[in-house]
Amino acid sequence: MAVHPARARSLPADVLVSLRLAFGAERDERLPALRAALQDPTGPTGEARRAAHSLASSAVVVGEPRLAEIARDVEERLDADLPWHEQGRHLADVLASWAP
Amino acid sequence: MGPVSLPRTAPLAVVLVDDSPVQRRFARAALEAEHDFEVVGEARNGKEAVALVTRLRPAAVLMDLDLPQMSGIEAIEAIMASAPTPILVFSAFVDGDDHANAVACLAAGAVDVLPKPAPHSFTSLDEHAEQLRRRMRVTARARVITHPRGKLRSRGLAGPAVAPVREVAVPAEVRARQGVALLVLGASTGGPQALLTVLKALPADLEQAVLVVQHMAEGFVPGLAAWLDELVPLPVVVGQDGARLRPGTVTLAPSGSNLLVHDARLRVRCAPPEEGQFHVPGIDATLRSVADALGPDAVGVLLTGMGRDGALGLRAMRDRGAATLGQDEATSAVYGMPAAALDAGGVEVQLPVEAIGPALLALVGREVRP
Repeated sequence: MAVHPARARSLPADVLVSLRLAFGAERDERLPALRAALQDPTGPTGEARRAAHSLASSAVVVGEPRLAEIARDVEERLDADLPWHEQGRHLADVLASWAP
Repeated sequence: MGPVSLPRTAPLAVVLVDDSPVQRRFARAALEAEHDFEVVGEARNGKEAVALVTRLRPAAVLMDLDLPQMSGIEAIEAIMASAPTPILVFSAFVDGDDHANAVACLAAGAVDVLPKPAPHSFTSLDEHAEQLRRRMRVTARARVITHPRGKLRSRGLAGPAVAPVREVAVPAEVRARQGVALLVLGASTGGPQALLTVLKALPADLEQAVLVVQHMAEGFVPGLAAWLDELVPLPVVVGQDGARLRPGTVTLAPSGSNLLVHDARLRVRCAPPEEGQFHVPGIDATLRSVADALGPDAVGVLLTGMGRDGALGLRAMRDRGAATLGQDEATSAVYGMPAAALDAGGVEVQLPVEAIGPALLALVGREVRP
């Protein structure tokens, strides 16, 4: 199980592990809302925006800055009412392939 | 100010409110790492938060803003209306609406706001954890009072954002001074609410410039300016290097540097922080510059906050003949800076926060005594 000790030198190893497990659980909880919004181009995007926002912050905590950037980009596009589906699909793919 | 630590007593009870299990896990690990806090409950949305805080009555609450079912702001209002508890808002650092929301939380009664770790932040998780502990130690010591806004909103009443300023008596020793060109205020924890109370008392045709130094996380000052601008009679702007402070305008020191008054024409410049300076923007640096540039032609005010920033600067102003005021203990969220200023001989008159605005008007010859 990958951890990123450079990001959190003083947090105990078991905490780092539990953080990544928690991110996996959050990913499992949020990804369906993101996929549902991607499949309905004209439907509401509130839950997708919340998912992107939360996952962006959580990704920073578990030492995944690139994933955090992608999620933040999706969130900002949704906030600004810009086209977001390409970035949203990319985010969904990255999340689906992420492993603790 | 060095690290803030509490005496070795039982850990303080904290409730965490965040819909992200990752954030709750991180916050729990960070707060419990040095055994001065114990997380006694976790809520995933605003409604759970209100119920949990009302039932458990913790020493402090760590609150996210972006929550399902009931937003963080609504939860803060409800908690402060029914079970007032020191609240530290823990918010993701983004541009736009979140800054204004963070300031709105302070208006609703939260004690402080701390940004969550952001992508490409140069701050490590260790440092974020330490910041969280440090800010929670300050927050847990804050004195909080009931904020009625939540009760008014629950009854469908369009209550004011802040209770109207009451008429208060200004002590006789506060007398009009000639030639006052600048009013300068410094504040930290609990500052936004105190600033709002003071600034609401100043009329739109005030002839003096107003300068405010508020300790605030990087990036939140524009949101504070926008919030105050909507609620007080004077326009509120963020200061810029090389500009002149304008009469009848409130200028907030921007984050990231010290805002210094350059000369008697009220030109300002942004200077890098001094070595070892803990808070940026710093209040001492600004007040010292005002003392040098204006001498007796200014009034200095030190409001609520932790630590000692502003104490020596206010003393410098008083030594140069300026009138100086300090917020009293009863109305300070944290009676640190005003106490330090009083101890240092920097405070000429100590007043409750609601009397400071009227006192400023008396000092510039605008007050009408009954």
